[in-house]
Amino acid sequence: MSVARIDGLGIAIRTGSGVARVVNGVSLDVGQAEVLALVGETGSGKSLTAMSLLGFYPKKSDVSGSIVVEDISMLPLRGDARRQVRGRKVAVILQNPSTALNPVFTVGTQISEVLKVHQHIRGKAELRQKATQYFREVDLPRGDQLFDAYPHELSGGMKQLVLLAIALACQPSLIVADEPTTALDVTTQAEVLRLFRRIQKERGLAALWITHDLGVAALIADRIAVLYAGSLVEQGPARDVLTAAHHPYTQALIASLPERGRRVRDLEALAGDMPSALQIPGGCPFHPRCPKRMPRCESEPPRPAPISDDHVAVCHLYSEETGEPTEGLP
Amino acid sequence: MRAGIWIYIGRRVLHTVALIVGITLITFVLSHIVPTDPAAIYAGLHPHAAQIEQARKLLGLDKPLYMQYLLFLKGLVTGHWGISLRTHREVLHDLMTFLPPTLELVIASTVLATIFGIPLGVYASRRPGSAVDTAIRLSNAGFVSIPAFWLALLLQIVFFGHLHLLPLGGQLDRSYAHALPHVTGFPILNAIVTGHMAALGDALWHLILPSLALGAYSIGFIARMTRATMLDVLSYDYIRLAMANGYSSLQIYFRYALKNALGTALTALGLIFAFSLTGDFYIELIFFWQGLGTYAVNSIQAIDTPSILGVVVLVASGYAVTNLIVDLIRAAIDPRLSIQ
Repeated sequence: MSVARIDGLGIAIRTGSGVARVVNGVSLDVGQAEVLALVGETGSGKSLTAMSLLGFYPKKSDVSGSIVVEDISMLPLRGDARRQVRGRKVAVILQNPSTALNPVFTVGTQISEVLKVHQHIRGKAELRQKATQYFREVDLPRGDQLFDAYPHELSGGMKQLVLLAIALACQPSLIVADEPTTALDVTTQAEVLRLFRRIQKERGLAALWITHDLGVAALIADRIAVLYAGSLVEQGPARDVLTAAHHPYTQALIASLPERGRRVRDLEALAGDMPSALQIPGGCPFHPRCPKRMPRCESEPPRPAPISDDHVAVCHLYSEETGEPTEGLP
Repeated sequence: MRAGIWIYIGRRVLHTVALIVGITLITFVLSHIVPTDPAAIYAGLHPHAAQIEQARKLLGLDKPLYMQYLLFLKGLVTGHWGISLRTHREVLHDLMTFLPPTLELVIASTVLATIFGIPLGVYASRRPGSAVDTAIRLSNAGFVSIPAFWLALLLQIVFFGHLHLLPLGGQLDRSYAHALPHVTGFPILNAIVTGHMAALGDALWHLILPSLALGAYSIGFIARMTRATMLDVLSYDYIRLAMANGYSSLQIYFRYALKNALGTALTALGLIFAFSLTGDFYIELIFFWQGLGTYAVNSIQAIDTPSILGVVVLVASGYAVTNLIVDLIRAAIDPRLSIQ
C-alpha cells in the first residue's frame, strides 16, 4: 500500500522558445515507512516531480498523468481542498535553510504556526512546551532556549534541524525532502542524515528524498529511483540499484564515484551533457551518450522492463516482458 | 541578544543631532547670501537712517558673522529663534501658532496613504499582471503624476463648485470657529476634548479635500512600494514553505509576508510624511489653511529672513527626526538590524 503514487507524470512548460518537457512519463511510488531517494542531476526534473506531490506546478505549464497522495488525487485540486493536503498529509523540507525560515519571526513562533494549524494547540505555554519537545527530538542543542531565537542566530545545520522539526510538527504521512543537506558541510550532513533516518524509522514515516548525491542515497534510502532528462531510468531497492545497476546511465553514475582508498588518475566521467528540456532527443533520451546504444534507441522510447519484482530499468537492453537482457538483438 | 539595539539607537540619535547642526549652518550661510537688508525691512515703510541703525542693533546685525551664527545656534537651543521682521513677534511663537494646522494636514494625508496605499499594494501583489493589478498600477501612476495643486483646484471645482458637497477651504466653518474654545491648536482635538460633536464633524468635513489633494501622491507612492516589496518577499523560500504547510492566503499575505515588507513600507511612510511637509504649502494656499505654508509664503513675499530661516530649520529638523523615528521602529521590527 503506497503512501504516494505518481503515474505517468508529464510536466510541459510553455516558454517563448518552445515547449520544455521537464518531466516525461515518470511513475514512482513511495510505500509505507519507506524512504525513496529520487536521484538525478540538476535539471533532471526531480524537484518538479517531487513538488507536484504538494500541488506545486511551474507557471505556464501543462501537467498530465496522475498524482495520488493517500488516495487523494492531487491534480484536480485547487484552493482550500489543496490546502488541506499540504502539511497535513505531505510536509516539505526545503534545500536552503537560510532562506526557508522567515527572518522576522523567532523559530519558536514559526513552529508554533504549524502547531496551531495542524495540531490545534492554543495557549502560549502549551505551544512553547510542544515546540521544545520537537526541538529536543531533532537533537537541537539547548532546545528549550531556542524558542525565542531568530533564524539568523543559528548555524546552517541548526536551521535545517528546525526545518525538520517543523516538518515533523505537521504530523504528515509523507515528507518530501528537497536536497536538505546539500547546503551543509559534510560532517553536519552525515549527522542530519543519520538523525533523519532514525526518526523516520521510529515514527514509521514515508519520505521522498531528492538528491544528486548517490552517497546520500546510500545512507538513507530503502529504494532508489533515478531520473534523467525528465524520464525515469531505473527504480528499485537501494542495494540492488547501487550494487547491480542495470541502466547504462546508473552504471555510469556509480562508476564515476571515486573509490575510497584507491587513488585514480582520472575519474570515469561520461562524455557529453544532459540535454535541455527544450530539445530532448527522440527515442531514449539517453541514447546520444549511451555506450551501449542500439539502433532502435534512437527512434523508440523504451518501456520499463521488470528486472525483478521491485526493480525496473527503462532500457532496450532488457526485455519489456521478461526483463531478460536482449543483448545482441537488433 | 538585543543589547546591540541600544548602541544602534545611540548612534542614530547622535547622527541626527549632527545632521540638525549641519542644517542650521547651511541655513545661516544661505540667509547671508541673499542680498537684502533685514534691518531696513524690520524698520517698516519709509524708515529713517537712524531707525534702520536702531533696527540693526536690535537684530544684532552689527556683530561679526561667526558671532551671529553662534548667537543663532544659542538662540535655537534656548528657544529664541529670532524676531520676525514682518510680525515683530518671536519667530518660534509664530511657528508654534501656525504648526498645528500643518501637522493636521500632513498627518491626515499620511494616514490616508497608510490605509489606502498599503492594502492596494498588497492586493496588487497577489496576482501580478492581472486586471486588478493593472488597474491599481495605472491609478498609482496617476496619483503620482498629478500635480497636487492642480488636483486641489480640481477637487474644489468638482466638490464645491458643482456638487456643493464639501467646503471650499478653511479648517472650520465660521460659526464653529468662534464657538470652539482653543484648548489645543487642533480643531479636531478641541472638538473631541470639549465634546462638541457637531464641530468635530465640521472639522473632519473640512479636512477631506485638502488631505486628499495632499495625500494622492503619497497613496500612489506607498502602494507602489508595498507592491514591489511584497512581490520580492513573496518569491522567497519561506513563503513557499508557508504555502507548503497549508497556511491560509490571508495569513501568508498579511502576517508572514507583510512583516518583511513593513520595514520598507515604513521608511517610505517616513519619507512621505516629511515630504508632505513641503508639498503642503501649495495646498494650504489653495484651501486657505492657516498653517506653516501660508506663513512661509507670506514671509517669503516680505523677505522676512528670520521667519524663513525658522521655517527651514523646523521643517528640515522635522525631516531628520522623522527619519530617526522610522529607523528606530525598523530596528524594533527587524531583528537583524540591531546586530550591526
